[in-house]
Amino acid sequence: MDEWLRLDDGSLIFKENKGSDSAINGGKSRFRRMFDDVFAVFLSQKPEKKSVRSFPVLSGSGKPIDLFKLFWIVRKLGGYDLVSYKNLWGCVAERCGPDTGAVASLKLVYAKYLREFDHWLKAILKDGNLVEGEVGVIGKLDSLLKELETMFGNLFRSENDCKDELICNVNSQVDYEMFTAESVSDSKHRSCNAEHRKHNRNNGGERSFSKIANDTVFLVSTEGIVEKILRRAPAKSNRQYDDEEKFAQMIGTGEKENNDEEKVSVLNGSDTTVAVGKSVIEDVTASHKRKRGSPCYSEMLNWLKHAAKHSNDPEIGPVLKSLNWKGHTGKDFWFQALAIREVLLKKSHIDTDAGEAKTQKKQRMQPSMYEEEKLNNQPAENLRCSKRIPNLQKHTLCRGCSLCPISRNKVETHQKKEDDIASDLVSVEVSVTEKPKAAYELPRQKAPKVDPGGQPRTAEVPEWTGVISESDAKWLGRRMWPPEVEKTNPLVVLDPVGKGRQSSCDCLLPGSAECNRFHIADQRYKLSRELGPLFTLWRFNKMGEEVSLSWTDEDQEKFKVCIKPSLSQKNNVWSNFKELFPSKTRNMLVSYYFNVFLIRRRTYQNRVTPKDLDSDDDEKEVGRVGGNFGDAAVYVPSSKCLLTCSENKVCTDLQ
Amino acid sequence: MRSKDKISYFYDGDVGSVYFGPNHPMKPHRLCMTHHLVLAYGLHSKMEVYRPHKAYPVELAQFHSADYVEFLNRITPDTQNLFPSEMARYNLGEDCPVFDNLFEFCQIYAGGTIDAARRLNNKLCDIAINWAGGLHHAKKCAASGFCYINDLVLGILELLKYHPRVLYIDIDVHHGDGVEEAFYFTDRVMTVSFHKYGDKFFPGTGDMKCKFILFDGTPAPLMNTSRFAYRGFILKDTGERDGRFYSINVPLKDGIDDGSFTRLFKTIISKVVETYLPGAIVLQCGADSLAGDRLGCFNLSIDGHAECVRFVKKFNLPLLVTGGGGYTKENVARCWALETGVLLDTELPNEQDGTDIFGLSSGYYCSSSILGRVLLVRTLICLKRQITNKQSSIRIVWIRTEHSQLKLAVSTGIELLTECREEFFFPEIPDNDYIKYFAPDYSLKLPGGHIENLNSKSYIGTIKMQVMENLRCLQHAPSVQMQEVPPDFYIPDFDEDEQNPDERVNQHTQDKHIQRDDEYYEGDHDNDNHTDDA
Repeated sequence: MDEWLRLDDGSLIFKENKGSDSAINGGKSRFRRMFDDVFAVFLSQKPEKKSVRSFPVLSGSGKPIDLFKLFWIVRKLGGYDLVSYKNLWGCVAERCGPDTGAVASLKLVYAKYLREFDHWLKAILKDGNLVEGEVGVIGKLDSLLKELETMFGNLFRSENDCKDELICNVNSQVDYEMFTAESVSDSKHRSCNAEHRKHNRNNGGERSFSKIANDTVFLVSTEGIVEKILRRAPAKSNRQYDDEEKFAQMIGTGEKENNDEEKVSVLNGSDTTVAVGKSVIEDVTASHKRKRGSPCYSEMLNWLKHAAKHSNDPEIGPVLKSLNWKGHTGKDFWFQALAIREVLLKKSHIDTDAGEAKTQKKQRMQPSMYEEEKLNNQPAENLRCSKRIPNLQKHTLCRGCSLCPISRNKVETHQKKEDDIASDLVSVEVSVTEKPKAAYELPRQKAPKVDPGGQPRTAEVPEWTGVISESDAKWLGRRMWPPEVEKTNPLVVLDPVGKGRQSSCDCLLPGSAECNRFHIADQRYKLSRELGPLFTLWRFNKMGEEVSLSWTDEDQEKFKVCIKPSLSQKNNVWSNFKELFPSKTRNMLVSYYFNVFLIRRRTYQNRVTPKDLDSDDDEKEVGRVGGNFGDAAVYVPSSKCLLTCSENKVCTDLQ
Repeated sequence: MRSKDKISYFYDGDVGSVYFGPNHPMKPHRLCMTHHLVLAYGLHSKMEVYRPHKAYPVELAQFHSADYVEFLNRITPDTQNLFPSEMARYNLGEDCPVFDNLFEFCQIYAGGTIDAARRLNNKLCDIAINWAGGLHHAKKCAASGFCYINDLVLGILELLKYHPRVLYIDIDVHHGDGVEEAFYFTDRVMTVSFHKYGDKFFPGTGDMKCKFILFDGTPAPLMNTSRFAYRGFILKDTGERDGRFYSINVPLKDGIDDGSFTRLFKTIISKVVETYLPGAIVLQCGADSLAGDRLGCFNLSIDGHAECVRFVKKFNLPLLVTGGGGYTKENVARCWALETGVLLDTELPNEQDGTDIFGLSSGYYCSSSILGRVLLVRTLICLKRQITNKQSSIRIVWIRTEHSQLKLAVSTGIELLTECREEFFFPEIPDNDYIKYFAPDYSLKLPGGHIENLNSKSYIGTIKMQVMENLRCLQHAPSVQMQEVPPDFYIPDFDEDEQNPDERVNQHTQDKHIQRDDEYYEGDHDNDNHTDDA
């Protein structure tokens, strides 16, 4: 315990070394670009999907949503299922930014775009790993996932200080722990399959534990990496089946003492995780022991990355001076795979790498010492910089330009491809290198509509003319639907006409306010997708409770207070509102009245006075249950249990 | 027979923000809700949706007086106090307040009906729908009953450019006085209005007898008029007062239900169409005749209301369907969405009742629909899971209300999850932004009406007989327009007259008789001559 606390403090030291924004952003943008690429591949491989996706992704209020950010945040919180289960979409919305619209629309976007992507990633990592033609994609995925992992690790630490976002933290930590546990147990399992049953038995408890984890991508990713390494290792190695030795060999030290040292420190590192996550996962100490032992391998992998980076990155020296530890872990991703493989191939590098790894480890635990250490590392880096320079510069150029045109993306892709291929040298033969290129480029061309960066495509605005002739058009009404120029979107599959609601939903709590809101947003999204510009022309964008999103809570309260007396006036209801709400036009007031105020009143009636429903009597009593969208009534963020009842004062007072 | 495969639907997004004022029963927002529901059901994929042009004052002045139109255009809420005399003259103020965008609102709904009529004229569609229209009370020089511009009249005038005769049918709970008045002197438009009459119900016109008083100047109820005298009268009147008999009113009392209303409607309308042979039909579907309307007093269900629409559609004539009254927003939306479906030959699922599968005493109920049942079970399982995790004292209670819908409440002593009680429902209406209005059933079914049906069978029988009498008379009222399409289907009166009613004739002889008629007379012209001779 003491040790944990101490380490907790230690991790606080990390936090103090802030100012690494640029590095983090750099990592993010790289990460984002990878995400975009992989997502593009995903989209191109799923052309027959029945669900309709449009780009750029817009929220209910028409604002663009950063898919990557959303994906990242949800992932961080533990994946779609966990977030849904724990009712954390509000949290997600907050993190995605203040102007991203309602919770439901975010959830919708995730469900529409990213959930499947998530599954797809999982599937491809599990099954498609060995398919030759997909090596390029896999390479990308691998690097993406590695990056994910790294970023994730960083984030988890940087978030420790956000006390108010406790749940999220807890979740992320739980996840983090889970994924390390899973990855290690898996790696053990695979490397030792026949010979080391004992290990399996030891890991049994952990695997069952890790099954709870929702964050499959991370699990799978680490698993994938480890698996790859392990698959290749036997060919070169001396067939040592002990995990620790294997890792040690990979790192190239071959020295057990070194290894043990590392292990100890890793133990400490993982304890930090355990300590923070402890409050949530109330596990027995015995399993803690296992956990403590197990994450060290993934941590070792991290160190491996650090080592690889240190020895490879030509830019790392100057950049790192102003950066802390967090920043530089974000960068190591490019060199990780290469390093591992190089180590496996070239014995000559082993010693250097081991030394670096050792150094890294110390830095990790005591980042304040980092700069001193780094100075020592400089010469080694400079020695090895030559072959990476050009590529890196290009990447830097494209950093953060996820919005750049496709052609440029392609160039970039080529470079990246080459990078990946270079890093794949160990496992993939040179003859194969052409293949993944083709495999990757083809789907990109097949999906011209997809813009990975969410760049708005020039919208095809259909010309609205009458049927007979131009001059008559005005006198016969302007045709709005169906559009004159049909959108050639093969993805559009309409719901059956006039059948009402088709299927029951798979929400956790079907029929709850949250579920309700979600489906309304879903419908709204579908409609806006189908109608295109008509959605605005028919004022659908100004309908429904989402109108309230442009109102502050204070204004809404003020409106509620003021509407009552002014309704009794015969004329000029809105006259005094002009003074009260100088920023609102009359139309906004009327729109709010119809779309928010009246709907809420009806909601109130539905809940409190279900026997006396009257949406047409303007002088009915107005109350409110729950939050703005009625979701707060069952929204209990701190509870693990979804439903917690709280006394409804409004209700009991009136009944 | 033409198939009704081309439907034009008129909608302008701007009508939703029109606000008549506090506590005014007319809420154009219902049009938004209707449109939402129509789209939620995906009905737009089966029709063409148009945005109407805003009718120009000149167009409005085709019926209305220019000064009235001009005044409507000019007046604003801020300036209305400056024109008290005009306000009184045009009947603006109380029922027909002046509000912002008043004239634009009128332009939109009138434009919709006019455009709809034009599209029908040009054979660009077979059925045109304008739910925003149907404001049938407006007079030539005055507003009345929430109506400012009588779009129906303007639409019919437009239809009359292409059709010799137009039939106007009105199933609003209020009498379609504005339209009747507008076409009172022409036989080119027949107006048939089914409405509540009596108890000083607005607008206080539309009794069957009124027409006859005006007809010959003396109160002469049809019942007391002998058939021959009546016929003779019409023949005498031909050419001078063309339109006097072309207004049919069906005055009804409170609480008429589906069965009697639709029976009456079908009998009368089929006879009218058969007799009058309209070139086009205008149907005003005021939804205030539904049960539970804020102003109405009938007991019609949406099915009953829609049945009328379905029936009119079957004539396969160019059909212009408009809205009208309707002051309980969600019912209006339900009704018009369903009727849009009817016109598109897309029946929306709207029957739903709870079946007691566990026995009344246990308090468990389930929907009859499979979907509802599945949902229920899932919900129950889900809730139980949640609840057993949390605390054991929670009871699950299914509540059945008087509307036989199912509600679920989870209660823990005084704590009540109202959320659940409201939100668990049988999904029928697809999700849309206004789904909450359709609580507690969330179906197209109306909460049942509880108004006593004051229309006795004998009363309805009397009405039916009167109308039939009237129609029979019309058959013998030729006019310029009628000559174009001579009626060729009714059995000439002289046959009836010649026959001895006391003498029983068997079917075979009757058939022979008819055949013989066909042999001797070359079609209808001869029949007409004989009629005239008789």
